[in-house]
Amino acid sequence: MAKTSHLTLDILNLEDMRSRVAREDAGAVILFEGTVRNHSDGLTGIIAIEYEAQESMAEKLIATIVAEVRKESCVLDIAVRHRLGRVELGQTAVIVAVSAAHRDEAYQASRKVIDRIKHEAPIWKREILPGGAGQWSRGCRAHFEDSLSRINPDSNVVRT
Amino acid sequence: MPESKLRTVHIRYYAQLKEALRTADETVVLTLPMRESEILEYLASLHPAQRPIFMSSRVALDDGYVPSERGLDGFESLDIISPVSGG
Repeated sequence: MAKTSHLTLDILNLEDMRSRVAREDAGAVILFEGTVRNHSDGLTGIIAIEYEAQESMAEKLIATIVAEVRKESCVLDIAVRHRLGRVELGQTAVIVAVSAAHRDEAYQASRKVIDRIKHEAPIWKREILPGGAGQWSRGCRAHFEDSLSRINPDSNVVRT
Repeated sequence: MPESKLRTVHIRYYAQLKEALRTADETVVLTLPMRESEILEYLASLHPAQRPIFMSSRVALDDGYVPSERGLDGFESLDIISPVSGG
């Protein structure tokens, strides 16, 4: 895999991410950590997730998301790292670190960044069960609804 | 109105679509410009068993999503982005 700044095969380090955004003028640092859970959409007993991405596009999109949220949110800094490859149950799959002068901006910006990554970045996950069987996650509904509304202009969908 | 022309296009697939089609890429001939929905419809006609996935996918050109109603042409890479699930 090419060297990238937002995607990695390596285990994520919370303290490293905190240090990337820490500043003397920050009164708040929010660290969002997305972890692998053992259930999803009725599927239980998940032991790992395998992440795949269109890497060059995902890198650019995450960089765009970070830049746009920084511009609109009055935060000081944002850092994102997302795992690729196999991530075991309980391990961290993604970290979003945000620093801001005040907590409200940091909380809001963190939420915006992770929501946009989940809805827009070309990253997919396959949920793995004991024995190696697995299934692809159904994916982001906003993405699906966007496609429906495009193909059928009369579609009346509500985004969540 | 832009003149239509045949162009050989290399298409890349990922995740569930790659697995279902048993290939990460294929080469097709498209009559460009085509809109995003027309490209997806055409690919679904080539792979009817995977039509539901194509119809819930988006087209990315040169590492970016495209406006759905614009005629698409003049690109280097074409990726089919099935519903994403990062995070």
